[in-house]
Amino acid sequence: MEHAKAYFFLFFALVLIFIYFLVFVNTAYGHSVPDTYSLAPNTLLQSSNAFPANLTIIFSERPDPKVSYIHVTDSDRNRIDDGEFKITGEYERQATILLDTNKVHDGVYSISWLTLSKDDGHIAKGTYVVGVGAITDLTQTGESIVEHQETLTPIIAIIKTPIIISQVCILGFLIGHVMIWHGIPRNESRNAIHDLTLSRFRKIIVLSAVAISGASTILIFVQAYEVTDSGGDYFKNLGPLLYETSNGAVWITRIMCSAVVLLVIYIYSRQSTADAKTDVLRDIVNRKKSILLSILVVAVSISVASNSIVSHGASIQSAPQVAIITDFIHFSAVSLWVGGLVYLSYVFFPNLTHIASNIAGKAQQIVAKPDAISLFTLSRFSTAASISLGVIGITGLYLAWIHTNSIEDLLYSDYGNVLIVKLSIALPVLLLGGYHQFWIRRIFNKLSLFGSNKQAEEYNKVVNNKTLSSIKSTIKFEAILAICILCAAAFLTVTPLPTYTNDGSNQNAPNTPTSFQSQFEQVFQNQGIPMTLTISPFHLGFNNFTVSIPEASQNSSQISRVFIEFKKSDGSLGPIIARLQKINPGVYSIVGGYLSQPGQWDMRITIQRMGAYDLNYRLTETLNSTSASESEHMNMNMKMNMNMNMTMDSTLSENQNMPSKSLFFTYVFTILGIVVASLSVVFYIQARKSMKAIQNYLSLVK
Amino acid sequence: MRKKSLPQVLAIATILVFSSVLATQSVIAHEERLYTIGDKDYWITVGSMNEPAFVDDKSGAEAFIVLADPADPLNSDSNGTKNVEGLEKDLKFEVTAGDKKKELQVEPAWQDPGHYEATFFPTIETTYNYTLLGTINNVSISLPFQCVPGGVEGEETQDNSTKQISEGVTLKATRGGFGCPASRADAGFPEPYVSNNELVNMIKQLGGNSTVK
Repeated sequence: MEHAKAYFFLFFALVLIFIYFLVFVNTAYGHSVPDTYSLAPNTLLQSSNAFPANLTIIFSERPDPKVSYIHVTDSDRNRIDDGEFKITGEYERQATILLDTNKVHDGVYSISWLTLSKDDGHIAKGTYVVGVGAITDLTQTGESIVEHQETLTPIIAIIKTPIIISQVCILGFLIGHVMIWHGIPRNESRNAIHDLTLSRFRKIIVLSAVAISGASTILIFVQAYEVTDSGGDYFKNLGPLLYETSNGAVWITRIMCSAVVLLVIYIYSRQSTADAKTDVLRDIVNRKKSILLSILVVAVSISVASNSIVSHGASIQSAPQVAIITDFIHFSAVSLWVGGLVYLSYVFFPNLTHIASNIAGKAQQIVAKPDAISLFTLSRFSTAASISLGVIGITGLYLAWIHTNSIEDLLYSDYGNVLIVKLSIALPVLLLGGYHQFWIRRIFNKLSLFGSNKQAEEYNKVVNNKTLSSIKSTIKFEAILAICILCAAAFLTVTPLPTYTNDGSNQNAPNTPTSFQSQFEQVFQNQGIPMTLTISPFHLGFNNFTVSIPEASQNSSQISRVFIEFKKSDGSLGPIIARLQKINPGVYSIVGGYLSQPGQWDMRITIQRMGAYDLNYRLTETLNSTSASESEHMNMNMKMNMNMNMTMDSTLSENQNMPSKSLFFTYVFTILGIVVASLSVVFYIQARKSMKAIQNYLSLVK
Repeated sequence: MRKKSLPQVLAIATILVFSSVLATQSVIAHEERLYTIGDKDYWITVGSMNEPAFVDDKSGAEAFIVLADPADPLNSDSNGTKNVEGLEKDLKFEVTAGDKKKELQVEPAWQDPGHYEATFFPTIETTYNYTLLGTINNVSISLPFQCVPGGVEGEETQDNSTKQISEGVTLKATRGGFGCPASRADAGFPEPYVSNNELVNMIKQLGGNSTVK
């Protein structure tokens, strides 16, 4: 019991270490595909003079400039960019390259980009085209016209699969190894059981550690290949990728953790209590083994944490730390469950006869039977599995909720589809888990009919080799299905998240700005001073924000600075502060991708004045992912809350609340979460009750 | 007393270490500047009390004054910095907002050496200027600081450019910034919050016939 407490403390310490890492990890603010472009896909420019001198793309995740690029080539494949991928904006999401406009002539230009995300380590790339001069329709050209994005998921997912399975196995084996046998007196039985199971236990852990190292190394080499442009120098990219990127840091972490695991398991396997002749010596060996197991747990937990730090959760915009911690908890709970199943199938059942015969003579005779030991072990595992499945369900629901925005996201995006596949495999696994608990309960109910009369003959009537063989098979089947879930999870980790849209358009498509000419313009009054806010073209992505104050209305020289604060009304983004530049007396402007997501935005315009109070104007505006012209016909609710002595709400058009899919979605997930939690608690209570009774009945645990 | 196992001891030690590290990571948004005043380098950190400050809340201007680490003067977080105490008689804040101006004597913060406060209640959502006036190291100083609407976003990069401020006072580094007092309008619950100043203006607007006692 003392060691159980110690492991609890250790786990708690690990969580704190993990939080500590999170504090220093610069977490994500988006996803690694273009959100907005200064030169949008399929743009037709009238002449080469209109071609910009630089190209800016705001990515929804921080691209790593060490290996990311934007290349602009003409139809003869001549590059017109300077090849310098520079991070130029706030939050490190905006990248700019300079273009040589002297080389621009009429024709089609391909813009290819590749990003290695600093946040989740994913590589994404794509190409789109723009036209210059007398090209009437870009879709009629021979180039790849519509932007496409590649994320090379299948190969990466296949390489990641052994990493995930191995991490789950190590962590699950360690937890299972400690949890299942704790409470059994060490010097009587537990040491013997540990020694008997050591061979298979060690083999799986060694193989897993080697698999993690090998697959991680292959992964980084494949990623180097991915980021190498055709004709580029592979080894020139490999160096920075290994030593200067987050992917390299993850690779080094995994290699080091695997090395520690291998070293510790070697030392652990050399610590044999059989050689210890006295109780004192055995206690020393046991203490050493406990410490070694603790080190193993820490090492593999760090390895698991490296996954979570570069998971999809790291790329959400609101409280990514919570998502990362949730991902870590989710993975740990999965490890307990799946790793525990594999432990039972691969380590426990093959050694069952030896374990039983070893215990014989050290406990009551009935306990020595393999089926009794199985019943005892399964009842223990069932208790832990009930809780871990509850944790998996709740954390999984939370992760699905933050990564998807609607039922459409689940049904029509790649991410949603992989998630559905994963859940489809999980369903029979859950049913099998329920069946196993039912089996334990049924066996126990039958056993309890005999009361305290534990005669071996009567026991044999209830539990025999046939029933045991049946349960072994179903547990193995459950373990195989659970590993299939891990394969699906590996694919899920590399599948791009859906792009959230409110209009039901293709979620995987990027938010492509369109060249609408309409704009938002509104006049506000505060302290008798009119101010005009113009947002042009008022769409998702880059906009020009202009604040104008008529010279006649006040002394424009009095204005010192003008700011606009942007904040998503749901609190998921912002505040983002933009300081406007003075264009003319009384006119301040800035271009930027501040409206980077559809939804309701709160904006506050602050005009600082010398010798006078600031002028503050507030408005709330709904930005759809559709065009500005369309959005004007949609619901547009504007609230202007002016500073000082006036508060005014005004509606530009009919004020109809948009149906909130996310709210419905949230309700559904909340209800599902409550259901999962309740079921988990109910199953846990039942499993624990059975476990206590079985332990008591079999008199195994002191 | 029951003896604890080694894993327990290690775990508790780890928790304590990392808890203390986490506790020290909390950062208050203030503006830090390195000045050479006379012959000494000082890090002077200025901001609003009780940030984030809201209109009608108790707030004020505050300054943290430390002697820079001679071995690493550009690092305000260096272990070699020393709090400068006893400046309360020599310093004051001049606070301006709009066309209003007020001088406030600083008080030493309770049990926090080198920390000086000048309390006031911001009554309007606007830009506040805090000018630290007085004498440090026998040199007259007048150091203006200005809040930023919405606060300072993004990573705080340190600007190490040098600028002569006045005789004997040289600015050598600047980092960070602090937000202006925000309106309670958005945070009011269950009824919208109306500031005292807004109430006064509303009453004024109701007409001269009304008399407020």
